[in-house]
Amino acid sequence: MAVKTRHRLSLPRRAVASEPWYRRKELHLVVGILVAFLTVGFASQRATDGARTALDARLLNAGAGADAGLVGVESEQLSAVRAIAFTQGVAQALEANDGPALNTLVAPLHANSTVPMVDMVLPNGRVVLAVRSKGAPAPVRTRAGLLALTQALQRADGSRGGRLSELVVFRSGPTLLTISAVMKGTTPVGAVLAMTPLANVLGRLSQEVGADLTAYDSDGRPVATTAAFAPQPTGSDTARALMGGGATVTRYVFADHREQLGRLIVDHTPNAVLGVSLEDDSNVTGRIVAIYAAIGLLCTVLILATFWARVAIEQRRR
Amino acid sequence: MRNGAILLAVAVTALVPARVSRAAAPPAGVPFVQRPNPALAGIRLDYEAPLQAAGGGTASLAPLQAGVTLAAVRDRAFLVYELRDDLGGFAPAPVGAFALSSGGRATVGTLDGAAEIPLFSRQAGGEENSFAFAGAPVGPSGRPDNGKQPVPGIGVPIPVPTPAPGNEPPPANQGFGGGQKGGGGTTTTKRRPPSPTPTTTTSPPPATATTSTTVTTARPATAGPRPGGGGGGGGTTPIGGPECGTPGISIHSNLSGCKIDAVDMNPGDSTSELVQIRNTSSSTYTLSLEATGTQNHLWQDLRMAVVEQGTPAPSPLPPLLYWTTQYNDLTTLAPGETVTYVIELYLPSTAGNVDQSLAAVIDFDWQATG
Repeated sequence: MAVKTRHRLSLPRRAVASEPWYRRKELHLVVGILVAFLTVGFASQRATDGARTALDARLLNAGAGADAGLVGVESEQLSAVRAIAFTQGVAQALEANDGPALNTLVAPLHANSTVPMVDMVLPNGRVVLAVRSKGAPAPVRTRAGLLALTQALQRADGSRGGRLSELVVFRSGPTLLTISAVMKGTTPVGAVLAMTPLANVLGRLSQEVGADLTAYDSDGRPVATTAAFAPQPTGSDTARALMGGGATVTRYVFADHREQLGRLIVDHTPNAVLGVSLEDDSNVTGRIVAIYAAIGLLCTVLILATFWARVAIEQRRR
Repeated sequence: MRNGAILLAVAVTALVPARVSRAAAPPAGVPFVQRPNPALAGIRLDYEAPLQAAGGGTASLAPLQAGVTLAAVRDRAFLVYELRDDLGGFAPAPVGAFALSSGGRATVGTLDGAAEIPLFSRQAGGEENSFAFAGAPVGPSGRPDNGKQPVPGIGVPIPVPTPAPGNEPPPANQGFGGGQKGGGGTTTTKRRPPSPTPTTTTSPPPATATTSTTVTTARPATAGPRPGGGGGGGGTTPIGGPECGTPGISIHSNLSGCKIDAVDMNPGDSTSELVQIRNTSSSTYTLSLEATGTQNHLWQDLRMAVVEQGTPAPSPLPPLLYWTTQYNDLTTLAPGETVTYVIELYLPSTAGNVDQSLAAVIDFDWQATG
């Protein structure tokens, strides 16, 4: 029996030695394993790419939504400054430098709005009255030299009535500012400033679009964010290209957090770089798909092997 | 990749089935679903118009009563998230936070500074605080806070670009999509179609409308006004274009044949038409508008606004499909009254290659309901 067994074992060796190379079992095994790996890898990569593409589309939509939402904030601030500037007695009280009288007129209007900070300033920048919601940055004594104030007064007799919005970085941090000249007849006697910290604006918009938002100045430095991590600067070249009208940029801002960079538009003008980020879990998707694909292949191999073994055994029995 | 050149033909024809009110009614058995009126849904950011008085001219508001402060603070407190389900089950609501102001943090600047103006009054339990000098200011004037001073974490801030002096029409999603001055958007490649295909379209003839043929003209792929190019101007200067209305409604367009033709439109491009409508009947009616036509994928991407001349376009522009679901009321016209509308069509830069070589023929049905 043993001799027979040895003899039977030696036959395939000779047969293998005489077979062409492409019929070698080792080659088939290697090719099979290679195809299996490639299949698993391709499925994993495709799943990763698909999930990442979907994430990028979501980030783009969130960025567009944030810019659209900012229009709403601008509109609220405009509404507040118009209400104050067009209220009877405000111009007279401001011209008279009468803080208490102004307070009687302006504080209710401020409370009735959603704007946390209002300043009433003279043309020289001196703040006659500052009204603050609880928790808002403390008032300062003078806004002298504020570019928006100069523009508002210069354009007071224009079609806009000196109203404009822009992003200003005060000592308390970046602030969305809307300003309107206060007119007495045809003469500007000062201006009203409605302000919201940019961080609050981003916080509100972040809830609306469901993504983390970060604003960067034109040097690429983060100035306000809703993210829990510390965003990396974008680099001044990237920031300036974006501010100048460049295409959106995609990057990883922190660990797995993927970020789309576009423009933060205030008053139809790019005022900052806006980053929209979400955690990128596409690699997890890819891994899971790879595991599923590998399990599927293994099961297929097992089923086919079982089937092949049954056929071989039956043939041997015959 | 995404932004292949798109051959777009748009023909807009003014069709006037006067005094028709059947279109808004759904077929029997189909429940009526309210949809947004695109003429009213968007936010119109208006820096130019002063507050309008009821009788015309500029309004001057009477001061609010002091009691509004407490009422406003109480109302605001009521808006704070109270239940975890206040976000509709889509996400747990941060109970105690205020949706309009919470969640962000500044990474530069400091909130440590003390008030440089004395506290003058506290209202509503300290929720509203006013700072003012009761008499002449005392003490040093201090360093101005004007956006030009060094700020912790950033140094001297870089000033932002100055906004334009006029009422710039808002481009849709300029920051993340629409064309920026001088280009931009997320375009990666652009491919022109082999040759601009002249498109001839014939509007379906309604009961009382004129039927016309559109002969399109190609225009350079990169040309095109900024999106939202409506608005501006104002007044009721007569438009010397052709008449395309019917008895009761006089319609003049600044374009021949009362049609907008846009060919070779690229993502980010827009086009517009000025339409002047006059009530030539003897009674007051409500003017409404519906866009009709055979829809394809291009209709899903196009955006359209109809705004009164001199009024800024909404931002972002409403989808064209908003105009196709019902007659949307625009205004009420008294006998002899005239209104001028800017019709703005915009193809967002996010439009994909699926729109390539598609054509849209959009008919405008103006309806007057007494």
